Amino acid sequence: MGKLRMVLPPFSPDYSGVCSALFSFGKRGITVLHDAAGCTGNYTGYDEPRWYHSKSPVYCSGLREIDAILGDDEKLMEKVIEAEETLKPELIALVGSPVPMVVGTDMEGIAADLEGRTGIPVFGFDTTGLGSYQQGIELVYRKVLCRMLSEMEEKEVALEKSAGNKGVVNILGATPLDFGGSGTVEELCRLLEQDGWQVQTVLYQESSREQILQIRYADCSVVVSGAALSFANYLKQNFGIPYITKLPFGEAYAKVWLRELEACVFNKDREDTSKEAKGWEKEPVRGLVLGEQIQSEAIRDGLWEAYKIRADVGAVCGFYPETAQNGEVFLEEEAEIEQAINRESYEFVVGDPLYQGLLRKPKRFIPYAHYALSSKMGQKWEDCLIGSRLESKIQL
Amino acid sequence: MKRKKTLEYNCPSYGGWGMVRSGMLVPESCQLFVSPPACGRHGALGAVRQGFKDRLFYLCLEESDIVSGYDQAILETTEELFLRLLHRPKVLLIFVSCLDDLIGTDGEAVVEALSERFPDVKFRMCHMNPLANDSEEPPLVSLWKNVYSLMERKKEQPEKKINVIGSYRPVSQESELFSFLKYAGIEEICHIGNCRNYEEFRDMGNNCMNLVAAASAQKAAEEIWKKNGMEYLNLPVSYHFEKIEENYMLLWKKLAELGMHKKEKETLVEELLKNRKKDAVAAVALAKEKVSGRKIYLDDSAFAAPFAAARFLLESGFLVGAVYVSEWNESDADYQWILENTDTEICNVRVYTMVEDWKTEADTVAIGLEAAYISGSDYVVSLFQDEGMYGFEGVTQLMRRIIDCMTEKADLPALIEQSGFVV
Repeated sequence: MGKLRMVLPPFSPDYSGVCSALFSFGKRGITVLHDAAGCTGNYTGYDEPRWYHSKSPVYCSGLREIDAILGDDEKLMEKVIEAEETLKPELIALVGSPVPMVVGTDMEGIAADLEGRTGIPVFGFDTTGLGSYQQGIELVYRKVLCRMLSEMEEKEVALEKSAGNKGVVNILGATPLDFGGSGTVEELCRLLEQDGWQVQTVLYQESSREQILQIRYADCSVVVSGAALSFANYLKQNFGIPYITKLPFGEAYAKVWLRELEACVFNKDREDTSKEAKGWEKEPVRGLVLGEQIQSEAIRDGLWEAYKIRADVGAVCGFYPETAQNGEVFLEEEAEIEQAINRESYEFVVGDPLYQGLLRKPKRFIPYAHYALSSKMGQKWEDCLIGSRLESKIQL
Repeated sequence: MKRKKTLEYNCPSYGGWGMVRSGMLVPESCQLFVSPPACGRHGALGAVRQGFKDRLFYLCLEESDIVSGYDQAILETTEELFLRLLHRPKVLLIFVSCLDDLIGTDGEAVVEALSERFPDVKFRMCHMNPLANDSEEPPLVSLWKNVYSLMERKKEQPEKKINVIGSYRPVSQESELFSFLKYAGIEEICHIGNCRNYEEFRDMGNNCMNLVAAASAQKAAEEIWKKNGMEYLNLPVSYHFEKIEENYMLLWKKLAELGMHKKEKETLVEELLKNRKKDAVAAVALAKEKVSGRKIYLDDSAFAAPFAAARFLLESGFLVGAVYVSEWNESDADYQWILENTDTEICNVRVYTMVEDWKTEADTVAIGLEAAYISGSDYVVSLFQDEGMYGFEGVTQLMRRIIDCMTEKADLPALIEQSGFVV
């Protein structure tokens, strides 16, 4: 049975994840949310901080009851074809919502039909509004990017590697749903470049087709959210590109993380050391970091390197066992988050300010906004923790 | 101009109060949203911003609930909710979303079962279903029916009070409507937004009539009339002087039918309206001077009747650049008049190509946040559905707001944020 939520707003849904990830395609890709109005409103109003003054072609299909009941998919297709003829995009994405799920609309089937009629790639996403944004982002990586890379001609694009650089990296999994307008992604690029890396494709701001295809020539992927893990594995298996997870949060941890990046590139056959013991096993756990898993792991590691203080990770919106260490749990329901946050042994909690509503007794709370939860309401607490900023923001 | 159904564009300033905020007008009420988590997100975030998230709860549906139906889940969750709340609400509005239109939960049976179990609470099954936007019962119409059905008639002899229904905000205290009604023997104008507790709202059912200030509440008024004979009159907000006068005449006549007519007050009423009209005319002249030939852009979020508002401005000598609308009736007389007599653009703000039609006409005035975004106006009146403007005083207020908006350039992102609008 569905669960009662007393305090927290629902997280950004799967269809917002799809739209957010596709935003990188800019005007080259039309995204159509197949809904009546509210789902598109969710995305444009609360899940897309880049929407103001954006001309990114994200549209609502304007689904109505009679079309849903009759299964009139032709109406949707006519609208899409008309827009395709006017806007001449390179690709089209059809994104599902709760009503298409209930009436069993075959989003992939319609996409295939449209692809035949328009002659450009059309992708159907069977999103339902039941899943999390991370599933949506993952779907885009799996369906759109994997297809683009697998279909590209051998010499369609090349990548010129700048002389003197340590190597070329891509940043995968960055969307504003995890980073809002904190400037974290921009700062990460800067830090990497300062350390001698060539940052190639970020998939955060608008990326050209060429930039997307150049992904395959990188020396390493930097995975900054769990949603990109499966794609990073695909790149590893198909193009031999290794990957590193987390972000260099904190001055002390940034050094560790950059060393790991070098090892990842120059010693490809090395064993994965990211889950090795860090010497904290005998230390008591004193805090909880709540949020997107990979980012929370980075905060945890940053706190350890900076203060030798150990914290657990409570992952919300998705759980990726391959990066999880002891003390990491998936907190799926509000009741689970409430239970975790109120555990007596945690002296402090790092997480979105809205979690404070679940605290039964006062406890040190360090607000760190998660756009996929508090959206614009958390903007005041959006922070970049790259490099020494973690130590400035969080003093333990 | 032929409207074509196309893919739709959502401008960043698109939206309104939405179902949650509108329903929250019911004093001492709470809401239980029963839907996939996604459907509740914008309403919940809006509630955080507006400060009533502590009255809004969610039953987040899973796939299995949708497959097997969730009638029982609503009953059990309501029970759990009441156990966890410190105070039981007097009203619980249960909202279902679009997908329920296709599943067909037996709302009446759910409400009946809950009412039996919790006789001290009033339950209503409400629909947040934009899927039905073009039906005979779009979401707001059905919400007002539910909300106003909570008014109860308990007295045989109606109170000498009038309800204004359908508007989001009470009529401004400065409106001549108050004096007008006083002359007719009406002691009070009641609005849901002024009720301090549920009982005050419930007792609005004892008043002598409903004045329907927005078309969306007409069906609610009809239902109440059918149920208990409470009279109603459709007198939507207008800015057109003749229309305002006509509305007052209709109201006077209706009050006469209700036995409230006070013949000896007619002269006073005439004097009142004459004076207020004079004030409005002066306000229009002042605003025209201030606007000084700049274009005005307006939209259907600001005005319930945007073509009528545009026509009033045009006939008053303002230059109206464009009217931005999403749904409209092509047989609307004011729409036809604008088409036939003016160069004013009428733009479907929802059509997907709108994104290419943004203007950068900074030295203009926009009334409504969508018009502001699309026109690029520096001077913005942040108005939503006429707010509390009514009668001649409504015109005066509108003019005052136009004049006020020109004192400094608007910070549109901040205005959008403050509006808390949801789609």
